[in-house]
Amino acid sequence: MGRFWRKVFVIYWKDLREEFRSADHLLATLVFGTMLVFVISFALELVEIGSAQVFPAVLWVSVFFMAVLALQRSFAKEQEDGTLDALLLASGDRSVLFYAKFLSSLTMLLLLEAIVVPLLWIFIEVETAKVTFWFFLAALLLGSWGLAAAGTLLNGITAQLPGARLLFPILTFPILIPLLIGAILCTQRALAGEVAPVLGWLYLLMIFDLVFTVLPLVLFDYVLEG
Amino acid sequence: MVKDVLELRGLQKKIGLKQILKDVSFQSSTGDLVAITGVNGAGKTTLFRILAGLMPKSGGQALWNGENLELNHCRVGFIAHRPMLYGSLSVQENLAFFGQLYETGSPERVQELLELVGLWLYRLEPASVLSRGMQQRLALARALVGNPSLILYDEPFTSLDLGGRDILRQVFAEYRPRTIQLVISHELEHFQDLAYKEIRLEEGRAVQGGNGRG
Amino acid sequence: MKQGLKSPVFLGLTAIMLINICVIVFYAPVERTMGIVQKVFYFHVASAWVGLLALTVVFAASILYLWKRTERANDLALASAEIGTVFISCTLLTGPLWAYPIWNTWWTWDPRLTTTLVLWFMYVAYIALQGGGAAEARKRLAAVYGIICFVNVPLVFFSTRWWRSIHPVVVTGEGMGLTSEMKAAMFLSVGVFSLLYLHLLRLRIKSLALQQRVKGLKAELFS
Repeated sequence: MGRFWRKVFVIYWKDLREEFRSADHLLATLVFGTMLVFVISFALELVEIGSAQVFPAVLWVSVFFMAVLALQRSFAKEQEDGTLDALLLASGDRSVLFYAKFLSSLTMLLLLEAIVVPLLWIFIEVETAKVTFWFFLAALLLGSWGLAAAGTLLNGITAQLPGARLLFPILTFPILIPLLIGAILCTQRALAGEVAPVLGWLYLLMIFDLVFTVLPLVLFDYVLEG
Repeated sequence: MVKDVLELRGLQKKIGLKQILKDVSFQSSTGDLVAITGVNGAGKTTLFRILAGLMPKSGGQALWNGENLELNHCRVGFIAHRPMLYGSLSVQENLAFFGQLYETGSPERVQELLELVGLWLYRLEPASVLSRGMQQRLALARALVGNPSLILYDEPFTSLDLGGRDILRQVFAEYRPRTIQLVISHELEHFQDLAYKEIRLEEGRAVQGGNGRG
Repeated sequence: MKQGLKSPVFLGLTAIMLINICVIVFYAPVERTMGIVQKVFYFHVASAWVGLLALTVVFAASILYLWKRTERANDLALASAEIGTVFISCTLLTGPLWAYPIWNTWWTWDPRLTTTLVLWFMYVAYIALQGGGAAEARKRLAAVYGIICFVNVPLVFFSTRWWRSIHPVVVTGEGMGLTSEMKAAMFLSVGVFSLLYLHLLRLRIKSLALQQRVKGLKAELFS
């Protein structure tokens, strides 16, 4: 067990170092995220519904699209460099790769959100007085967790089909629907400060996260088999 | 020292409708240096991927010390067509990363290997700026860093200069007592005075070729 | 056995389909409040049933493929997904026909509607993954995706159901809000649609196998 996680950590650390060393992709994703937030809030402002009511929806739609860009790289890049084989041989276990990639994707996603979410907070005025912050952050964390887990699993699938970039969002979005519902509803109530009625949704997010964190243990061997 | 035995019995591989390998059988044990030859598309690379555990076979048996080959069946060093390196990481970081994964990458070991392949001077350069031949040298170091007991070289001589080829032959000799080494190569003269066996892949079958000097 | 329009299976299926339609039109009574529109319900429920059945078959065949790696398992999964897509499309089309006069809206975000739509998207994604060349990798990856989709269905359903529900609940603990004639017609319809599904499945698997054979023969011819 200790060896497993040590390997996961070594790959995770390598991923982060690589991503920051050539930060162009990270920056491009960040710029895309801010633009997305800007365009949507501005579009809503034009038709005069720029109120706190739309905040959760705008937030999660932006995060979803940003995640597609951020997650698409995790396996695609290894595939392009041809390093996937070397990585498999050295780690000796395909699920090690899943968990490493999942953690690095989650880290990237949280970093991006750390910048984009406050920005959206400014664009769409949210009354901070009522907000239950711990719940808001819990929803954000659990939502990102599920996005990163399901996204990494599906990216493992699409990365092996050269020229199938477009398949990634097509395969991913239907799978993410339960997560979208739970995350949006939790965020909405967190802003309104009514946490008790939506605790069930937090559990749904947890169940989704659990399913897509454990399922790869069984399935990932088949994904990276070729 | 215990000898490892690699044995193939009637190995088959079908990709789509194409039967790439029909009936490949051979045996080899620690100390062997085997040259694998055959025309383009004979299935040499496919065979290597199966031996490394990266690709499942379709039929027959592939055994390592009597047990089925899986991804982690033994420590495999693999030199493929592509160098399989991280372009944005430095030479040293690349090697140290794989060393850490294999849990054999002490700084001394990394230095020793980089000196062996003649890249110690370039250790701080990103791997992407290296020439193709230098990348191949780094790939060689990467294949060795895990203390492998089976080394697969897929056309290792290509893109290596004379010095690189000498290093490769030195590695062949030095690792011989500890490993089984399989080399895909079309130019057997590269082996010079090393003793080797030849196995030719012909129409999906393994044919024993002549033996080299030694 | 004879093929095509003269095959006994096809003729038999046509006959029971006609009987089914007669039962729906003449035997089942006209619903008191909804009127004649309610008749679409028998097709709607039956095709939704087949849509779910087909996904279950995709799931089972995907597991079988990962386990045995036979062409037939993959053919079964693909054929089932394709036919399932057609039936789910029927559900999505017949739904609004009924909903507009009754609910006064073409679409509502009810759990079943939403789940059905997500199901449709998953089917389409699955077929997109399978499509474009029959590389072995695609079959394996599609099998994995088929399993993920099946696991995801309950998550989608319960999350949408928690959220809201105004759909008429057909099957509940207390029994159904239907007369016994209506029930009989519904079960007949479900049965007949299932038979149609099985028949189409058989034909499609056969055609996929033939495609494979043609490819194989061509490969042999040109090699």
